[in-house]
Parts: sequence; C-alpha cells; structure tokens
Amino acid sequence: MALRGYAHTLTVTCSSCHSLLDTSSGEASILKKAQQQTKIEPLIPLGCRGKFDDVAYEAIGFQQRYTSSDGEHFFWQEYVLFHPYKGFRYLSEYNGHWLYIRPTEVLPNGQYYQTFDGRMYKPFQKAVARTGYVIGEFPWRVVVGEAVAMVDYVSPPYILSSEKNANETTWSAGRYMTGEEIWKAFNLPGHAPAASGVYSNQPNPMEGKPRASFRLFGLFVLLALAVLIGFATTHKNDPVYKASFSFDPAAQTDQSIVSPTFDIGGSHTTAVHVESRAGVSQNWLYLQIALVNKDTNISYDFGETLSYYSGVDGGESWSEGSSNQNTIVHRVPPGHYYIRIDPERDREAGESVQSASRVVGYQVAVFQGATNIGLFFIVILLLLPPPIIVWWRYRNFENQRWAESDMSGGSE
Amino acid sequence: MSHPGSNCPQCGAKVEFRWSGAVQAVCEFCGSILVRTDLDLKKVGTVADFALEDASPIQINTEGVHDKKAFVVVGRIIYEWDQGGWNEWYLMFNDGSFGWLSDAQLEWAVTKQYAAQGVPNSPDQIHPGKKFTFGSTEFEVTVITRAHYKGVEGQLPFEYWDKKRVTFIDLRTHTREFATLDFSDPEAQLYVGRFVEFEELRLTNLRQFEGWT
Amino acid sequence: MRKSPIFTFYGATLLMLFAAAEYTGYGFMGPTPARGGPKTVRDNPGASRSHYGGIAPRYVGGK
Repeated sequence: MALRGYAHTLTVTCSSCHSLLDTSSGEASILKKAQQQTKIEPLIPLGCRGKFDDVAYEAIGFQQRYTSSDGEHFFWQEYVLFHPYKGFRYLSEYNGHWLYIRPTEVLPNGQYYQTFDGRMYKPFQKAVARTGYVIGEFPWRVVVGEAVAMVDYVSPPYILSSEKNANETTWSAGRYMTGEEIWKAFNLPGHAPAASGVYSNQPNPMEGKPRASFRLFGLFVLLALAVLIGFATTHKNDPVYKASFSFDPAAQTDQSIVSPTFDIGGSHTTAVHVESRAGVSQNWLYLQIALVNKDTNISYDFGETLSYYSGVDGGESWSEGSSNQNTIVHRVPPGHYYIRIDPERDREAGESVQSASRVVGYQVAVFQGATNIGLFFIVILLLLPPPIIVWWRYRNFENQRWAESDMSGGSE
Repeated sequence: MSHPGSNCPQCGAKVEFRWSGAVQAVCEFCGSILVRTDLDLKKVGTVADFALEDASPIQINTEGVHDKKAFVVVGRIIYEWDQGGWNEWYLMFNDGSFGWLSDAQLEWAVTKQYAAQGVPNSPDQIHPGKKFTFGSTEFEVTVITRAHYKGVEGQLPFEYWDKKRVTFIDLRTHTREFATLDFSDPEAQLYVGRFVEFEELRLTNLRQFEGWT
Repeated sequence: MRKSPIFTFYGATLLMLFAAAEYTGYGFMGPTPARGGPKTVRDNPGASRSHYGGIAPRYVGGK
C-alpha cells in the first residue's frame, strides 16, 4: 500500500504480516508532521559512518547555516561527525565543495594574515553566520537563529575559521575535499553533487606548474645559448679567400675583378660571410659582388655601399657611413667558388671631377661559417607561449577564487 | 551516536532508529514501518539534541601517563552551562601530586593548579581577546562560560559544592598550552597545563561503548 | 620531463631545429641563389660591365 504524499518510498509492505498503515491513524499523522519539519534532507544520512584519517566517524548531526549580503542569502550545510575516543569532526558543504574540519587547540598568530602550523593564511571573507535548520545531535546546544561573527582565512587547500560571539572565540582548521572523496569515505551510493565555481580554499589544479614551466623554459634558453655559443666558437677564423684591390674611377680600363677559385668545404651547406672594406674618407664606393659556384654556375648577387663622411658642425663633430660591410649568404653548398666584383663610383651632383676621381683601395674577404643570432631570438620567442599559457590558466583559477572574496587581498 | 532502539511490535525483531531524531524506521525482518510517538516534533529542525550526555570515555580508575608520570583517575566533576557541559577528572599522579584532566567535547587538556598572580578577583573586566602572562607565556582569553556543578563522583580536593553559577575562563596560546581561571572561590584559581592528544595519555581501563572499537 | 611532456617535446624539437639551422647556415634574409652568368665569364672579364659605374668619359663598349 502506498502512503500517498510522502517523499520517502514507504511502499514497503510486509509480505508475511500484511501490515497496513491507516492514513488517518495517529502514526501516519506523526510521519506527516515530521515530514513537514524535516524539510531539508542531509546528503549524508545521519547514522552513517565515514572514514577519515583511518578513523570511522558517525554523522550524528546536521545543520544548515546562512549568511546574508545585500538581501541575498547564501546557504551551506554542516555535519557533525563523532567518535567516542577521537572526538568530534565537522564537514561543511557548499555548492558541491566539501571541507573536513576540526577545532584547533592552538591559537593562530597574526593581525591581518594568520600564521598557523607553519603556513600563512590570507583573510578571505567576513560574515555573520546564522543557523537556519538543525537536526540530530551536536556537542553543544544549537538553536535556529543563533548568530556568530565568522572570519575565514585561506591557504589552499587549508582554511582557518574563527567564530565569535560575546562570550567566546573559537578557531577551527579545515581541509578541502571533493565530493568523490566524501562519497568514498562514507561508501554512499550514486555520485556526489557536482561542484560549481571555485571555492575559497580549493586547491589550484595548476599549482606549481607555472614555476615548473618557467624553469623548463629557462633550461631551454640555456641550452639554446649553448647551441649558439657552440656554433659560434667552432667557425673558422681564417678566410677562405682574401684580396685587396684599388679602384680608379677615372681610369679607362674595366676594373671588375674575377677572383681565383677557392674551396668552400665540408659535407653540408653553411653560411658564408663576405666582408668588404674600403679606405674611404669623405668618399664612397659601391661594390657589386657575386659569389659563384664554378660547377653549378649558381651565383649569389649582392651590393655593398662603403662610405665615410665626417665634419664639425657648430662645435659638434659628426660622422656618417660605414667603411666596412658584411653580407651573409645562407645555405651555401660546399664546392669550388669564385667571386666577381664590380666597383662603381658616380660623380655626385655639384661634386668636382677631381673629388670624384680619387683612387680608393678596397679589400674583400670570404669566411666560411656565420652564426645567425636572429634565430636564437626566434627560438626564445617560440618557447614563450607554453609557460605563458600555463601561467595564465593558474592566474585565471586564482581570479575566480578571489572574485568570491570580500577582502581585497588576492593577487600574489 | 545515540540510536534509540526498540522491538518491532509485529515480529519482535530488534529495530534501531538511525539517529536520535529519527521518527521512523523500517523493520528489516517484517517490513513494518515503525513510528516514534515520544518525540517532541516541534523541536525537529529547530533545536539540536545535546550529544555526550554522559558519554565521556573516562571513568573512575582509568589509568594513564602524562609527562612520563603515571596517574589514576580518582574523581570527577560534571559542569553544565546553557549550551553544553564538560567533565573535569581529578588525577592522582604516582609522585603524590594531583592534576586535572579536562574533557570538553572530547578535547583533552591536563592542568595543575598554580598561584594566581596578576589576575583580578572578578571576571567582570575580562573579555575574549584579553591577554595575561603566566610564567613566561602569554595567554589569550578565548571562552567565558557561566556554569554550575551538575554532579560529582569519587575523591575530590574539596568537601562540599554548591549549585550556584560560577564563571570559568579559558585561555589559549600560540602553542598547545592551556589555562583556566576558576572564579568559584572568593579568590580566583588558576590552572595551567596543555592540550594533549587522546593517544598521548595511553589510557587504560576506559569505558566501552557498544558499536565502537 | 614528467612534469610537462608536451612542452619538453616541443622545446627539444625547437632546439634540434635551431641546431640544424645553425649547422646548415640557414637564414631568412640574404642573397638568393640565381642561375648565374655564362660559364664563359672567366674567359670574358669585363663582359658584364655596368653602364653606371664610373666617371664620364669612360670606356663602355666591347673589347
């Protein structure tokens, strides 16, 4: 027979006794009245035992408390756990987040921050907590309507709470637990309600990861530096070709140069560094240069402007131009090479023929092997995103945590 | 913790109500629904029952060790106040000295009496947060309780007790030290000691509880 | 390595590419290879003669 109107599945009937409950009987009305009073069902049924730190405690009491802010009420649930020798422990549940709490015997130290058990706790929230509903047994008499001034301090995954009224200040220390851990401790059927949001002392899943990530980044930077320095020091200092020439702008003969063949050796492509210098003083010289592979006929063409001008202007000396230039040719395959040089020097507008006709001496040297420092910086840039992403995710979680706090202390 | 029990009126099997405020239970054997008629339903949801009505695991003749000295429990005072109660167990140590083992919500502290210096004789000026120095340690007032004796047992260091309310003040420190001021006499009495873990006391001859190991 | 296998793998790959690039003289800017002048240039110095380099009057014709 089903007792209509009751939430509990009181559809059990005794098959052997066929006992029935008359809905108008005294017992049914007691049940009904109890039903009305017990409007909140604890998630952990009272009388259940759960294991914490290897000790089985029994849930003997339950209360729902709340704080008010701007007219809104925020409710959370508390359970009293009991063991006749070990004493009392408490569980607190809010939005699927759980705390395992025990009263402290030692007073924390501090004014704004609290130091306790070797950790520093930051103030998170201040509120007046009131009891809204209570059933079962408590180690002190709890009555609906009682209020205490509560302050929470956090050091994830731990929390310190102080509760004050006119006659006492008590401190308790709590540790964050997940719904799954609670369900496992009590061996409850089904699943714990999912946690929503980030709770005050909820451990950050990215805890320690930014530091580890940046350490790894640092290691990679050092390794990249080692690679850079390693290559830089193994390049040969002696040029594979070096020669000096003289250019006479006014001469009637062709002054282009074709060098003798020289070797660019090795088993792999390398960077080739061509250095040009000119003895220019208040003068300039342009060199059109080609590095040509004798066998494949592939040439690398580039030009260098070498110049140097200086003077004194109103007491300040100035200079401009560079009398030596460098060009790096990338990925040059080994083989037999020569260079071809075409020097040029035009007469500037307003320049005297005499000035434009000065003979200039110049020198070209070819080196095998050049270090590309730009690549090093590109590597560093490419190594940055992963630790930055990790750091950002850590920060994001902390921002969510401290968004719930009514104290300003938040950022690290 | 307290599981009111009864027998099923239908089949006689033992039925336990899961917790003190449980109104109904189902008989495991015959399936009848049992309803308690003795509960004050108005209290359900609004007032909690008080656990530990006489549920201290200590009893007279319990033995233990504190600071390497063996002791035996010889006496007891039960205190009660508006919102609860606690036990003070009188200890006799094997060197002839005496002390107190306080059992308050199963938090344990062993204290001894000391001369109360620098303490006012009236608790009126004292409030939570006020600091006192006893010996070389600074203590802070944490709890002020107005309690009275509820009962006594065994051997105690005084001969009579009256039922008037008396103020007790608890003080704590940043370490595990603990002190109490007892304003029952015209002069304040000071007890100083520290909190201990249940295991530290190595208690034997404890009270047993059904259903607990 | 156990802390972040993805980053470790990524960083190691980058470093290896970097080392390979330095080894082979890789770079972004610089002269591009071109099919060069005729093989006969050695035999023909001055054949590719710029018209712009020099002071007029200047020899700009053939041999």
